[in-house]
Amino acid sequence: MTTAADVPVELYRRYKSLALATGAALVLDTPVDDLAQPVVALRRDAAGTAFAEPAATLARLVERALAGAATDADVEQVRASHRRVRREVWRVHPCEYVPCCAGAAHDHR
Amino acid sequence: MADYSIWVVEYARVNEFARALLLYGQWNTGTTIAPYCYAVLKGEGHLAVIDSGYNHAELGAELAESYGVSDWQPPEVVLGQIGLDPADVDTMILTHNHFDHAGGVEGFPNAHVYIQEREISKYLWAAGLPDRMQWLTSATDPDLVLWLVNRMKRGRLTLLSEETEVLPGVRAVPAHDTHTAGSQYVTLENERDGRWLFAGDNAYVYENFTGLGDGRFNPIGLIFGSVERCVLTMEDMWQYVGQDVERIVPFHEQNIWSRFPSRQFDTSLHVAELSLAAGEPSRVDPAYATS
Repeated sequence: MTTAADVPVELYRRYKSLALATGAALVLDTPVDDLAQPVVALRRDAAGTAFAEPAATLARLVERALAGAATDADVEQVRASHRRVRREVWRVHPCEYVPCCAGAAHDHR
Repeated sequence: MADYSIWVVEYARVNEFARALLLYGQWNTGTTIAPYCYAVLKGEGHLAVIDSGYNHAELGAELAESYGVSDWQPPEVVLGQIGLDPADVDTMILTHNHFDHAGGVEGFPNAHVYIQEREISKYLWAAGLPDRMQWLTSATDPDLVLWLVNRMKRGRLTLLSEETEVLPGVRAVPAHDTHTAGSQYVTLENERDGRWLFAGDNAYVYENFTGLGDGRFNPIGLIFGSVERCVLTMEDMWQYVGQDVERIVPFHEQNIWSRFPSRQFDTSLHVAELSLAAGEPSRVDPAYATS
């Protein structure tokens, strides 16, 4: 059974911020150079955790973008791994999503 | 001047929506029904939507279930009820990048998407901020940005930075630093019945404009920009429609069904018909059938 300790929220926050920024850079068609070092650091720190695979997938997308060779498949792999890890995080941690549309209750657990 | 049919289509609803979120400062005033809607424009050789709803798979479902969203239907059902096909939608204007407005892009595969550049560039800016400030990005998700990459690569995404006529008579107007950093609202100058304004989440309900009976605007309850910018933007919107609140279209307003000809379909979802172009059959007439 997954516990909160297996899914360190600090790593999720770093990962989410970098994934968001990478997506934004690709949409804006701007260089991702500034994201390369933080993504490499995230990949290193995430080794052996629940974030190892999404961090590696994100790092691959950034590498490919740096080379001007990011493909739809690279993006789709990040989306898929992001969805998996997000489900895992929300299973054991409170959802961080600030609602613009909340009902009376907002609880993922 | 252009001639459009205008429908507001409900694609889901929240039965217990906190009023304090709809109306700034109205704490402890209970809950109300809030529909989730987008608008459909048909005319001038175009089929357009303003906002996209969300995809109940993945992020949409996870968030929606926690908020108590019910009765969700995909675009093929929602548009199918009024005899339209989401594959025929050629234009999509996203008012902002929150899941219930921009989470359904994939349901309109052939639409060219228009969004404010600032709505996206602010995510890149925010990545440089310390974690303690990441509340600023907490109302979005990487998936909401990554699925725009595909549209961009196919030349079907335009990032706007100033007021732009997207279709004849249809203008996207920046409303920066209001509900979100890169919000926009949409105006329509219609030949047969004048001006309409689609507020996005710069107004959730009519009460944001009509207030609590004291003649003052009551802005929305969730603001990532500034309350001042929200109120000033509301004034711009108010003046555009000649101070006629019924010409403003909020997407979480249940009273829209009683203010305009409307119909509730078997799905329990509503459609309001705001305007009908020449030769266009009414979709809210019970006699209208799509098959």
